[in-house]
Amino acid sequence: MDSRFKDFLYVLAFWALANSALAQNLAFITNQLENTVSVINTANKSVIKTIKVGIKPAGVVASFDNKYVYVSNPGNQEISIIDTNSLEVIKTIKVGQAPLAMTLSHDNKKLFIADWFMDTVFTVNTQSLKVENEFPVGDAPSGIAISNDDKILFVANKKDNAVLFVDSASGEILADIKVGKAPFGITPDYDKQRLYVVNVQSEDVYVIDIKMAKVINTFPVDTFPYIVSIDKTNNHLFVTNKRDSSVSVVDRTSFKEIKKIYVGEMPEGINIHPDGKSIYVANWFDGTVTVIDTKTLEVTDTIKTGEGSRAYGQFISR
Amino acid sequence: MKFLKLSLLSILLTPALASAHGPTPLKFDLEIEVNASPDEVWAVVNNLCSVKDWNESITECSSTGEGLGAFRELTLDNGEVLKEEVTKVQADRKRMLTTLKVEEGRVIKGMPIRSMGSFLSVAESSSGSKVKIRGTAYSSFEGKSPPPDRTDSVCKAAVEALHTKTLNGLKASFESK
Repeated sequence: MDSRFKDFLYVLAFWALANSALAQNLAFITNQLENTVSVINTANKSVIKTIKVGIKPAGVVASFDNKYVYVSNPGNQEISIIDTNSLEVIKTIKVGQAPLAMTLSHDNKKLFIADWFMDTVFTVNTQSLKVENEFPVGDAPSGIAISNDDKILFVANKKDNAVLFVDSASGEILADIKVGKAPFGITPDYDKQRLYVVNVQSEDVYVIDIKMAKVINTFPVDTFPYIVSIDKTNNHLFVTNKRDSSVSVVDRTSFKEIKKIYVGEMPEGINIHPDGKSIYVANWFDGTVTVIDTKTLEVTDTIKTGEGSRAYGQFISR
Repeated sequence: MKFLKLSLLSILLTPALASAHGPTPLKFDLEIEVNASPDEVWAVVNNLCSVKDWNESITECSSTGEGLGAFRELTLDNGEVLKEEVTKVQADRKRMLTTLKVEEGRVIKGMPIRSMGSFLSVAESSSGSKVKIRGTAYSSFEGKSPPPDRTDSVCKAAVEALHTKTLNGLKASFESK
């Protein structure tokens, strides 16, 4: 073989290897009852590290550039920042009284944190790590999401049974939309310009049109539902039902239930894998993660994580 | 000086080692072996007020309805009343969920919880049945520094004590027959 061609092959092989390493998405599971985060390598579905974080870790959001993962710790009012390379906590930020739900601007510059007790959203500058803004929202903000142009925050307020649209810079309230009883998770569907809001006590999902700022549909799920994850490839929605220990699979167009899949006990956080082939579900009571095949809708793996696996937010690196 | 006194006072009032609170559920997970068949045990626990016969902390019980949507009111030996609703029945799995919601502002003496969801399940085992009571409860205190009688650990201990008495009493009621 021509030696230059051989060199070329080596370079090619190295490049492919480097890329496959990069493509290994990690799942960061907050374990609320043991103050840790389990890091799962989704390529072989094994826990590669358990990281000590703050107290009662709950919320999680991976940055869009995959460099950092932010974890909210309502138990000691701080955010842990994990470096995805070293898998160490590199910084902590003190915020509010009970930081829980979080979302990130698409340029990774602003982290928005909803505080459950203070009824406030804090804006943290991710470069200076300082709180640079705060504004009041409704009673017990449980879920938060952001528009794809980063201009509007969508905040579910559990005790107001409402979703607020809030200007992400000024805090101005742009819309106040009544939903079901005790809304929790809020998931944006940018392609369809919709939000899916899960109501824990009325056991249903409200579909809000973002442009109209209006509820356009609702559909029932099962006991104590928590949050939606979207599978665009198969046009499905997956909803965790905490007290049914199941996931409802719902058609993304007709909103009819297609299947109910039993997972571990008390599932909470749920994410579709970036490759679209599987769904990861954190089971709070069991301290496990269930993996579901998005094509067959069958459970393929159960991974032991830690006590109180919650993983509320975008827990798989993107 | 006044400031110093106040800060000293606040240090003294902060319960030592009590973990701060957030929107975090408390977990309980209890089980017992009962020397009776699952069918027998399931029939007994489906009679919602039968619990009064064997849980010594429950002095009175009244119930309305049966199965899904049924309510029961338990009076505890300290005079507090707990109103529970049956919110899920999975007869095929011999599993039922009762939920308790405490009115806003009310603090139950000795068990300062805001809400609780308890799964009671009966499964076959080598000694007859394995009965489990597992679920979650939330503290009624909202804020990061609860008074010492309203901490998460007080809530968890109280809930576990009540359920443990139910399980122990249930076992004894079969085994004394």
